[in-house]
Amino acid sequence: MSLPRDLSTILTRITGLPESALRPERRWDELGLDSVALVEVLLGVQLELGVSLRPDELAGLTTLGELAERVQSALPVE
Amino acid sequence: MTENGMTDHDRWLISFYRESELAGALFFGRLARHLPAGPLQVDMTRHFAEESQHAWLWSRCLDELGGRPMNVAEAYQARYVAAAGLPANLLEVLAVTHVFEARVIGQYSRHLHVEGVHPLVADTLRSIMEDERWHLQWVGEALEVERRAGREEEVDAALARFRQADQEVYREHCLEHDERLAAVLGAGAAA
Repeated sequence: MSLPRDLSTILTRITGLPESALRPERRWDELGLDSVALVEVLLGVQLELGVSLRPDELAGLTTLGELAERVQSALPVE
Repeated sequence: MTENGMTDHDRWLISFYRESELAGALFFGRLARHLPAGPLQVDMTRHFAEESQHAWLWSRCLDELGGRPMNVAEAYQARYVAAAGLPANLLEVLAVTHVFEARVIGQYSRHLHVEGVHPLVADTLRSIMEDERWHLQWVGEALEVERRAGREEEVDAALARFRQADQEVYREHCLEHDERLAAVLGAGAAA
């Protein structure tokens, strides 16, 4: 199982990690994102996927899979 | 004091400015990677480039005055995040930038008007302030676009939130800046 491609692309750009390292079960806090990186995630998801997240939603994440679920459930219906 | 007449207060202030410009450059450089092609991407990338240039100008200024950067407290921007929380979207990034740039211009302007400010420091301040005015302008215009798109309330709320944070940060963490500037002012008045 893997993350949706668009989300993977955003996280790869921010973390510098290869897509293969961004598996859904990976812990969110393992990425060690600083405050600017968190703003990058919020902005990337907003501008590239059209999904608005609140900063406290990121703070409550346990795994990358949870982020993917949150993004998927908020994606605009086409 | 260095051979060129730079005191520890001057050195601290320039180090503080340099740190702040570096933090700003890294912030805008990283965010610009996520903007779609268009005027905002162009303006934010120019903003990133100019903040980098400013960090270089302050580094050069210190070097030419015979000083080295001092360790200064956490950059001003990080204090904003602690006081107001992370900006959650592009509109909030623009709002925090607008409030922050206005503060920076105010600090630079006060320093420029200190009697006896070193000519090299004055030249650097003038050069940077010209760019900072453009920063305020492009961000103000981008916020105006948001208002015209029907997000007037969001813009006003974000500006109010970050202005409040700015007041808190300034009151709690910029005392050292003011004290150092006052010391430079005192030295200038006594000369």
